[in-house]
Amino acid sequence: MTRPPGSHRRHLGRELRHARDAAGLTQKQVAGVLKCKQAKVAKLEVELMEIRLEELETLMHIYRLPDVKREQLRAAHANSDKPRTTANLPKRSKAYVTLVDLEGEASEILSWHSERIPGPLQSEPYMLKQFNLNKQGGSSSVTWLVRERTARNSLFTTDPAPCYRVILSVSSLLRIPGGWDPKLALDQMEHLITLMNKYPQLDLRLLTLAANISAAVNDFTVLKFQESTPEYIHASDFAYIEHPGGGQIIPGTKPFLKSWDELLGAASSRTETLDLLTEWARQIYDQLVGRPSGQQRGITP
Amino acid sequence: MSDVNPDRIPPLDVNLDRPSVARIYDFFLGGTANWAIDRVFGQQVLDQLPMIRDMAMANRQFLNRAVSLLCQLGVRQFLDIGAGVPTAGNTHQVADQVAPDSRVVYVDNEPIAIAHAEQLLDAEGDPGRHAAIDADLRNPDELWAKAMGTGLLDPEQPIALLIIAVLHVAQPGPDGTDVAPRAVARYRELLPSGSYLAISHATTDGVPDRLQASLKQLADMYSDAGNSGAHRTRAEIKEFMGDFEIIEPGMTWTPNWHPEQQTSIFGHKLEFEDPSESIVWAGVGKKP
Repeated sequence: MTRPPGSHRRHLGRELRHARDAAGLTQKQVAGVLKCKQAKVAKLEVELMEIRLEELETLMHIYRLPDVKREQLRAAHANSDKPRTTANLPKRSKAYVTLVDLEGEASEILSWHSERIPGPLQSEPYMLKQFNLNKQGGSSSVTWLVRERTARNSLFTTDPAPCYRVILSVSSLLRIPGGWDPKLALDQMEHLITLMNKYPQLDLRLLTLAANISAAVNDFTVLKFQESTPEYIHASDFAYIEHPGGGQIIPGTKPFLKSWDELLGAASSRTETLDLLTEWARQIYDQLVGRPSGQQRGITP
Repeated sequence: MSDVNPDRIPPLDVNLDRPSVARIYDFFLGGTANWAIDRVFGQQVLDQLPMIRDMAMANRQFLNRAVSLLCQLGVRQFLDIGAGVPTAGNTHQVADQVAPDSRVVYVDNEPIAIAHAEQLLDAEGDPGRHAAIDADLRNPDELWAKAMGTGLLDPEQPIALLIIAVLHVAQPGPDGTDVAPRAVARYRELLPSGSYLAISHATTDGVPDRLQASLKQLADMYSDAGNSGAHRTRAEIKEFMGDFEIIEPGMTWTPNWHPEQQTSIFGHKLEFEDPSESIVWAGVGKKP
């Protein structure tokens, strides 16, 4: 059957994922051959990124694809448009892209957030709400965002997965995109609970409003790498911060680590965090479905 | 595949602030593609009508059985309109069990549903056999062109058109009147000879009196949440089949439709005292 113009490239990423599955290879193994980051292989397979012809040839070679299939995929590549961009979505800074590409390669991630939930921990509606999609965008934007979120969430499932340590101020649970919305807050809390139960390497700590700190410093994320990290990844420890002008990569992590230790000293334990989230989620849920809630701890002291 | 449809009726709405029919259905089926807003609504419905979970299960089992039987009858092409968010027992998964060469195109007009379908196909779909497209049931010619445009369906060969638990959701045209009968009639024309049409549709007609008050409440709850329904009698549902020959056992309550067709998706035992408690009238017709 003939395909209409434009439909070829839509299948290229899936063809590559399908071929990799058939060859019994993981994204990380393929990244090792291409000498790139696993995140790049993930992006190529869902077409969040365009593949170069020489990369395609290498992949077809290691997947041992038959000649007929190779011809089809070359044709698909030749017919490809630029990856669909997301005109309605904000542009990502170079520093942000570096963070996202490298977080799956890190041995440890330390992250502190006072007023928002970091990307890998966002529930789907929380993520979509940030982009105010009621007013703009369309299904291609939604699909793009959902794919981007899935690609980023592979940091939980990649092997070996980084130890992901996060301290969240309680205010980050209350500051909901678009204003306070109990249903969205509940969704986000339930998502955090699910992630904590599913991934032991996620060490999430809440910093309650009663916690004894002098002031909440600005949000930051530190990525630490093992010395054995492959050379082509070129990663040494760094801190990432965001500001209205974009994102910034900072090579010296020492002051951030000091700040992290102070915050950690004041934060709840992982078990206590899980208990608090469960209790608050239950309170909101009971309220929303109209059930009486027992005497419980509130979010504010 | 998932371009924005400029002629969408009504205009595109990503709908983050209202529960979605598709995700509530996923919640009743025990899936994971639902949000808190859907779970809260779903729980309120369950409090009123605990049987809703079995009603949803029975409907899903009808879909699974229909796909399975149609594969056994030789059908290899499926067009699943209003497929919703992928949940337990998706059409391509059931079809693959019987016919590994089957091809499936999923259709929905809701961006979140499409994004989830794309994501599932990213992970496990065969790009030579599966696709998801953004199109609206109410624009049959446009939907048909887009579906054929995937290159996966051969319009000369029989196609099974699945419209499962979709037509009882209001389908207003540009002037607000219900366009479902006209749209389905057009699909019957477009389908090649030997094709099949599978429909399931909730109704209060023939449902025991003891359920009527709860069903009225249910309809009001969905309507208040922005999901208006379309009310039809069993005879009106059958009219969607036009001159198609309805295959055995005819139009029935979902639990009565080929119960021998077991799919491995659900081990769940339904607790209905009578099949009419399933509230969903269903059947499959064949184009002469």
